[in-house]
Amino acid sequence: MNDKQLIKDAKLCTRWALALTFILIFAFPGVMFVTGYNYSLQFFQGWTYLAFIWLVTAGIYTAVRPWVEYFLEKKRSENV
Amino acid sequence: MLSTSTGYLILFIFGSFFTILTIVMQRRRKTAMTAEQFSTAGRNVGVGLASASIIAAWTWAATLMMSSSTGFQYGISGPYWYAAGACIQVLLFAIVAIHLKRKAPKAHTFLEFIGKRFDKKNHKLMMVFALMTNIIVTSMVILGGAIALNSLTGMNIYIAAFLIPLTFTIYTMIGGLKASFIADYLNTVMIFVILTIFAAAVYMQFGVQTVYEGLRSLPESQQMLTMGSIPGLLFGMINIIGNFGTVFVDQSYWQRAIASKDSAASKAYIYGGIAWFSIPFAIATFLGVTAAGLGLNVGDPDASAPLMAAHVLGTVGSILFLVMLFMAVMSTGAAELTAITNIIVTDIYRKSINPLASSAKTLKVSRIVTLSFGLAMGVFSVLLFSIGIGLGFVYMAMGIFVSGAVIPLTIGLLWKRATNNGCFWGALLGMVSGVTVWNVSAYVMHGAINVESLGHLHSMLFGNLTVFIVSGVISIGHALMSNEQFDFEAMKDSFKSFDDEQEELIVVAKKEVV
Repeated sequence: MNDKQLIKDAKLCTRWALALTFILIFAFPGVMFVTGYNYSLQFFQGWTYLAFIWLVTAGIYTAVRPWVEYFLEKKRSENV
Repeated sequence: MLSTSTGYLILFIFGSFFTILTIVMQRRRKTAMTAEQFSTAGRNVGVGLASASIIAAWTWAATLMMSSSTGFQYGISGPYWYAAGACIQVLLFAIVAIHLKRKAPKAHTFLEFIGKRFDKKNHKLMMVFALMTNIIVTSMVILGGAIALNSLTGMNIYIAAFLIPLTFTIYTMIGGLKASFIADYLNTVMIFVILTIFAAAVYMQFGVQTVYEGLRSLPESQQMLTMGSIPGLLFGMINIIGNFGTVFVDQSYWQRAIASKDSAASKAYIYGGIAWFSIPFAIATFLGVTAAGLGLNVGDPDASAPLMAAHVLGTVGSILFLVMLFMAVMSTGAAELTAITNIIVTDIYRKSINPLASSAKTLKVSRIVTLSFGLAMGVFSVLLFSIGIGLGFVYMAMGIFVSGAVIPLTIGLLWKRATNNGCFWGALLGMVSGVTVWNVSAYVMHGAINVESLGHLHSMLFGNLTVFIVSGVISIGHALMSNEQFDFEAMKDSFKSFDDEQEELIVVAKKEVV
């Protein structure tokens, strides 16, 4: 991989890492803390659904992606 | 509660399974294992496997036990602060990972980079920090596993602490980093499956409304259903600061960047971080918060998750929880062990003891170091137990000991103006002042310096904050004042793989013969 591509990747991942950090540590909890919002039943329900959906999606991603990469790599090496 | 023999059986089954799997994989390999392969897994790992491995390395026994404990104690803010407070370090690590790939493409450890970027004293100091991090994390992993085995099966806690490292030491010794990656993948997938089973079972058995009503009726209900919980926030702050050290100064995370393809390194940390978030967030919500909402009789909040697991699914729940916890212990343990081995072999053995060691000799030394350290960690964990230091204490105190190196290390990698003296004194005085403030505040607020007073949230927070402030001010301040500049491009070619070094040695030897 050439240096130009690595620099481009570095810029992109820096933006993502900083943006996600800002949202997770300052934006969302900041608003919730300042307002002192008490969860309603509906909000709590949404919160638990979010935890569940995030878990299942992350699990599927983690389980499947290495296999996809493995087969793509195999196909590529066979073509070469 | 499960029987003691179940505990031994789980240790035996998983230890043997991964050892046999590693042996089979080794036999199927077309080429012989080299020292380079052992420590870098060929530098060819894709995004998927690397992110699974990052998730596994960051899913400690404490992730499963402590996150649920925060959910049980602080309500919904606990899971969030645990997950977010420990996820951002992995996300931000993506930035330094890709810079290491650019500036030191053939390095084996981050200390190798430090050794060339800074002087000898910095290299030695950072090595102390790195080894301390690995030792603290490994002992915490073993402590968590032993506590769970003891509370769920009644197994002797000292025997458990000694046997746990054996299970991951043997397969790591045989297969090196690649074996650790494969085991990480299997362990991570299993953890996700078991967690999904727990989440679905809790939801179907109790429903959200029962838990919600239960939380509202608790005496401390004002903090259970809001992110505005002050203890939750304090824990969040300690969690954020403390965990920087255990990611940025831990060779096992640098190792995953080193082992990844160039194109995969940074993405793996972003994807891995986002996916990892769901583990403590879900387990603490479904087992910790739910246990509080259902009014479960939990003596020690650290045991809320296994008790809730047993409450939901009975004996099956206990076994599933134990298996999940044990998988977390194994993968983190193996990651830490390969990290320690890499540091000792690359930065001590090959740098100072035997720089001309052949690949075969280096591989042999690597395996001996892996085995010795694995066994030594078992003994060390037994010692920690015997002096009364537990999981929660080590988890919250670790940042004070290891985070001093975070800012010096990061600016050393990213900033050409970072200086030798600034980074050295920043890291050293950061730690010293952090420990001092931690002890002084424990004494001032609680009248004594002991495990109990040192374990309080406020003294932990002051100690953790001081480390960051002092190390940051000294290392950045000195850099700004001194106006030195470092040429990263010049150091790029000074890193060589073990195999390249070996070839160079052969060429030199041939020339000498001629």
